[in-house]
Amino acid sequence: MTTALAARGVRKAFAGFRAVDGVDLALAEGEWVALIGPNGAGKTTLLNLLGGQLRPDAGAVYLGGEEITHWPAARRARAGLARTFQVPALFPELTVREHVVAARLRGRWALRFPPDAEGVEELLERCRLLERASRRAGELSHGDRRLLELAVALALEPRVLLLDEPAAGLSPAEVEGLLALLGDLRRERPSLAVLVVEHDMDVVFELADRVVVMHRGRVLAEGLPADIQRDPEVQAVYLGARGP
Amino acid sequence: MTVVLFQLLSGFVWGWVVALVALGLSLVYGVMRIINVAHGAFYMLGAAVGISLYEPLRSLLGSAPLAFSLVLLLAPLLVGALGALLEVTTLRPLVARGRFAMTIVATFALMLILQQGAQLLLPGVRSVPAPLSGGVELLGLRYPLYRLALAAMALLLLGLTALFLYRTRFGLWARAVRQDRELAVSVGIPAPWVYSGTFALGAGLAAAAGWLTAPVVRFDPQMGMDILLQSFLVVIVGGLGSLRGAVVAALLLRVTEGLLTVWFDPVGARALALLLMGALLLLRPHGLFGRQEAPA
Amino acid sequence: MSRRGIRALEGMLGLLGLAALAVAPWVLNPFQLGFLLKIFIWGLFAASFDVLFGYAGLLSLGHSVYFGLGAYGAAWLTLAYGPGAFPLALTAGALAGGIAAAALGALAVRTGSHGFIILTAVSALIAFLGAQSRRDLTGGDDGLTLPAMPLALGGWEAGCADPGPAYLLALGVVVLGFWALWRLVRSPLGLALRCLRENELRAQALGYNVYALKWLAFTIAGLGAALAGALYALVNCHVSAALFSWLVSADVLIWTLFGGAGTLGGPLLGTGTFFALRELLSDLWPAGYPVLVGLALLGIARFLPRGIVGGLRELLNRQQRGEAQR
Ligand SMILES: Nc1ncnc2c1ncn2[C@@H]1O[C@H](COP(=O)(O)OP(=O)(O)OP(=O)(O)O)[C@@H](O)[C@H]1O
Ligand SMILES: [Mg+2]
Repeated sequence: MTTALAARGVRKAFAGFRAVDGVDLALAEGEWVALIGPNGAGKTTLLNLLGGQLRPDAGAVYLGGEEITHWPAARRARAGLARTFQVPALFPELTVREHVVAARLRGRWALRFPPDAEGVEELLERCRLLERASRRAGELSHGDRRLLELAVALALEPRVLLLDEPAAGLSPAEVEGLLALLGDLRRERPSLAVLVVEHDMDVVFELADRVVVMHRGRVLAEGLPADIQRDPEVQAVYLGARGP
Repeated sequence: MTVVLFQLLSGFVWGWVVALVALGLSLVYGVMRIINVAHGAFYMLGAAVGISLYEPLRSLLGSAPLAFSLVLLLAPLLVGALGALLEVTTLRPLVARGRFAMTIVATFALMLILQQGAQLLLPGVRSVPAPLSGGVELLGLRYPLYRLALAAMALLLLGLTALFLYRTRFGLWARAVRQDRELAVSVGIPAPWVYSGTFALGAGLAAAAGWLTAPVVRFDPQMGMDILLQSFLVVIVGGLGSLRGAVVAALLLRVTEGLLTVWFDPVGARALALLLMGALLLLRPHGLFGRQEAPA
Repeated sequence: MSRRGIRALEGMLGLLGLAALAVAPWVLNPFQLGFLLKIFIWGLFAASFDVLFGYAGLLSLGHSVYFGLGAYGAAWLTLAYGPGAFPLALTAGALAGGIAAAALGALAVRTGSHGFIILTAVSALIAFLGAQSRRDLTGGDDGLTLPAMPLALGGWEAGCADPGPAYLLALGVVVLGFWALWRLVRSPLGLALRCLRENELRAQALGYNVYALKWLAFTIAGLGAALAGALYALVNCHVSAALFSWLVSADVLIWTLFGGAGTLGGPLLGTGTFFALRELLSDLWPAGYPVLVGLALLGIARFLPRGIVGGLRELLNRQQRGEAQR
């Protein structure tokens, strides 16, 4: 089994506060891992370190065996590392279709568009965005924005996909749709490795082969979803973080 | 040798003036996140208002230094009040909508209106005599006393502003908004009024600088342009948002310019000094005391 | 009306407009012709600015530097090699500005968005002061006067006061310039620029090298501005240090905003409007022009942030949406 993405002892502090405090993590090719943990555990920060939005203070990040710790985000994206953002980060004035086309180009630019419009339409169709393809992203509903985040990440045709709370704020019906979409993806792209941050345990159970629990910047536990749910330490953290 | 000394001194004196103007610019930028293109116009207005008030006051009070000092109090107050008024009417709606580019356009528009207004209301170039005559002997050089007083006054105003920022409730608010606007609002700081107050303070500081320099330059409605751009450069070379950096950069800029004047014509020396300062950014793209803009 | 129908109509109108402009020398008097010419040249300048500001989202307050360099580049070549070398002068002027933009751009795009604004504004001041200080090269505020281009059309010779044939040459260059810019903003590069304008972080996460893109936009915009500047020098027969002024950079921002940033056509419209306004007011109330411009700007900033063309497009879009829903 080859490693698709790995972090070795990564640390990141904000003004002395250790948001990520020495995390080791590895995703095998084709593996779907859920990253859970209470608010402020450092999940998004870890994703930012993996995606290149932040540089670690210490430690290293590898993509398919190659060290990418000092690569800028753009280079990582071109190398097949795509992500979504917890707060949808889109181009408000651009249409939905333009988003997908821009992502398809993967940072390349030329004076002519390559003739692969079908790929774009197909992806829009699959993400249920085709009817809204000429809408500006700024006019979309929250659910559609989340879908567009995903469509844009998929348009990069990634080897590794990082999802930051893809189901947050979605209605139950929308969550169903999202799960169906991700299920299809998993079937069609067996080598794709996915790291998904998620609070909704139903979604976690549905998607993940393995669960990693973060707490206060560290990995607290990891294992099969069922085992993790029974783990008393994990329960304590969640109860402690949620309870009065 | 005396030429060099003279230019060094002049550079030093002007450095403090630029620092004072840049302080206002930097404050407004730091708190409101707008680049105030009208800042130079407030500097010019300080001189314009001062010139209009000075003569009547002097004949009324019969003392030049007294009248001058009174104007130094009145001109910034008046211009600051005007600044607050303009902020509320023109900038506040834009800031509230987060239209950054439009705030630049609006302040540019204010600059045009204020400059042209001054031109229409104060036709003909006028100047005022210095309230202090005489000079000081320094290493065989006689340097005008008023210019030294000018530097001292600028320094004093810088200090007073710092005190104001660190010792008053308004100063605390302004610093809080500058650090983290959302947090400041969430603890109940009235951000819009802090904006207006800061804008007024910035305008007042520029006006004070304008009146202080009125005796040593010729009044001209466009006189704020040069110092505005110098302040811009100083603010960015010092590090956007760093008040200390702006002061250091201002002194550096004007002393360099003064020294270059020994060998070049004044205009060329100014261009060269600005160029050299700009080149500093090659070494430190985020300024002397600046930090990289944090990723969103 | 369908989208394709609108396209075809626009194309027809464009061709008709071009034909009308091409016969202008035989219809208009020299003063009117010169006025029109100025609008086109400064309009091209504004369009080049729009690539940077409207598309890439970079607010430069120093775009006049490249217009000025283009003008002086062409002027120096004309003075050295005579007016017959105008094709060379045009190319050299454009290249001079383009190279300078490439050099300053490499520094400016690294200073952050607010640093960028200030740095470009200061660059205009430096260029302006530099031009004033080196009177031996630039002629300072008095400037340099050039001989007219040796162009003739059926016995009608181009002069500085009566452009005639020069108008046609300039019109050709301006149309070509607009066409090139239009192709550019319609290309993947144009899309990439809009992406980085909208959300730099996201553009990066899509694989776009934002520094390289910004630099490219700055360089291309500088090249376009310099081409306009070179053209200006050749048809106007006079250049001066004032071309570098920071106020020229502010003017181009105003024209662009008024017409509509990010539309290419809008800046041309804005340029024309403000030239006409200035001309009108110069007879009625010359001192009032800046005040009126100021008030107009405040109005735009508050109520018309997309400018005229942008506002119209918005309206059209909304209408279409309404029709589609019915
Ligand atoms: N740019 C930043 N500057 C300062 N502190 C930060 C920054 N980003 C994150 N933090 C802090 O680091 C900690 C971890 O934040 P992070 O966003 O990674 O948590 P999270 O696990 O994603 O939480 P959530 O479930 O709420 O999304 C938090 O305490 C947060 O306040
Ligand atoms: Mg998070």
